Amino acid sequence: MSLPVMRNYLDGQWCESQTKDWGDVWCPATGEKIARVPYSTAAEVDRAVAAAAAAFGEWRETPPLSRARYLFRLKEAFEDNFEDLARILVREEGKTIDESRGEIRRMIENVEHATGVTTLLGGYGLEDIARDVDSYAERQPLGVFACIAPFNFPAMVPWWFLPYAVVSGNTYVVKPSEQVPMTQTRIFEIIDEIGFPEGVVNLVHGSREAVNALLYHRDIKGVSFVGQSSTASYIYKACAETGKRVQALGGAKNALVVMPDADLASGMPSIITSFFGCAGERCLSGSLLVAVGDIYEELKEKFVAAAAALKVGNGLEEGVTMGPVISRAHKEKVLGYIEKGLAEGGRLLLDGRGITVPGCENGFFVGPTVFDGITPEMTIAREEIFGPVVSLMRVKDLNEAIDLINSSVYANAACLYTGSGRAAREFKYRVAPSMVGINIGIAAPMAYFPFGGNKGSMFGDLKGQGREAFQFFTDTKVVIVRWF
Amino acid sequence: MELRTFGAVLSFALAGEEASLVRVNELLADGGCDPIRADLERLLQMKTRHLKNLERLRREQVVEMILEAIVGLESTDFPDPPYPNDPGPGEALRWLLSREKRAASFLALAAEKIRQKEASRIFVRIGREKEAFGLWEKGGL
Repeated sequence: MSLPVMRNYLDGQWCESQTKDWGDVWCPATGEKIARVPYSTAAEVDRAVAAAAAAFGEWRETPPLSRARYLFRLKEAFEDNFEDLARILVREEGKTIDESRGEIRRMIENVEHATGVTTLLGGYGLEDIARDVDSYAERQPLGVFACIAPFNFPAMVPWWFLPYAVVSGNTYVVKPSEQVPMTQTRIFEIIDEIGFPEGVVNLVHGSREAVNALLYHRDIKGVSFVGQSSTASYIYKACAETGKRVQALGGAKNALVVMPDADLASGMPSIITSFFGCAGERCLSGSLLVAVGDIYEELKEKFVAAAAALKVGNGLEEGVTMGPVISRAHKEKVLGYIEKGLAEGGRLLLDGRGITVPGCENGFFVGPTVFDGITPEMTIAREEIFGPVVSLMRVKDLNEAIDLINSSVYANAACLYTGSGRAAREFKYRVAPSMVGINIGIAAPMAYFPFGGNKGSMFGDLKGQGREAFQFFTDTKVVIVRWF
Repeated sequence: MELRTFGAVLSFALAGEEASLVRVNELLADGGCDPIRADLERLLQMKTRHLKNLERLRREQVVEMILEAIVGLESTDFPDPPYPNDPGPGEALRWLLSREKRAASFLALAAEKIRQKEASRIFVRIGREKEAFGLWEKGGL
């Protein structure tokens, strides 16, 4: 049986790529090839950008409320296709069906939030800044923006940006991860049915050549990226060099700190979700579980028991609570970190190596893995693993926990479990990460708050989604008026 | 099968509603069922609403998903009564009502176990509507 072949969506048309360079898309649960994806050429990227640039003039003159109406229609279409989208996402990414539904929900919430454009995009003014002189500030779109998306949230991440860019009057190009191109392709089929004006939104599949073509294209005004920190840094530099706006969200090494007064019974579900949800492949996933003082033994016992009870399997099966990691190569990388943890003196309390899932023997599974005896200088305590591997650590007090968090090159998220308001305030006040959870394991900002980190976790200043999105996608023009 | 996750619970409830709806529609299309047509139409209206509410619940509340298993919900505790062979109108209605009763008791238990307020509220409400449908006695239940 021939595999589905992904196509680009350029200027309102589906187009076969002319590239000679193709990749395979794999189902992480079964280890089977499920589609072919083109690594589009720079010329194809150029066509997408040209279409977007040509569409910009008329689109920016379309009243904001009329632009928002396309999003209202899109929201309804996404609701109608909700299960279909969720299942495609599971097949290519591997997460569980509930996680996938949650991701589609978050995507839709960004569409919903962006429809508030008539309020959120408004400027401000002041009369009489001098005698007979008035002034006002208004926000104007800039042109063509692009998103270079990661594998771990194939549906949601481009939609942290696209709805805000488009509703603000810009036009857009999405380049999905070549590992997970199917979900965005289905999303663009829905966009096509909605009938956006040609060229307003475009989809280009690809890899390095397509990325560089976007980064160095003179008609691209800004780039949103989510992925590894090394790539985020590269993107940031390239955009600085070419005079583009940029928001490049990178990796993380997130800690969950558990105080002696924490309510473990209430908190454990969200602690487990933090470390093992999406098989640990989230930039908000916990990686270090830091026990403060005497709670260490109780936390260890309860956490390991809860982790061991997770049901690992094919995410399409209802009831499975953890799916595979994205690829064979990534599985090897995660297993390599486990070996390194052992070599550097860590002790395994729960070993996820060698797990087999009946019916999915070729899947890319790593079971829940918990290390004990980890110290801050060890590799697995410092580097991002992006898998279901937890380092359990012990510190004497909150100060030491905060120092540990702030010593990381990353600063994405940090969470504290406590019954003390004083400790919670101290924690949120002093930690470097930008996304903080108090008795919350995944400190994921909702669509109407900004998403992004600090230090090595974020290159750029304006974050994704929230009100900041409207700032990123517009220029503020100040007009000073005097009539004689 | 143990229903351990939000999705598993919702999918079980939805599958039950969908299977019954198929039968209701079949019976409505069958001229021999005129004696129970009014009851079937009421049932259709109610079940269509329940299906829609459960689907919306699955779509909109799934972000509350947590990885701690839901404990004590087994699909096998709510067996599906076999559909009678070539049933008359009364027998068909009895079968449909027995499924409604089964769904109501499932939703009552699920509302206790699921530990998600909005889901519990919707389950309780749908369960109450099924109870209030008022035809148990007609079904000999």
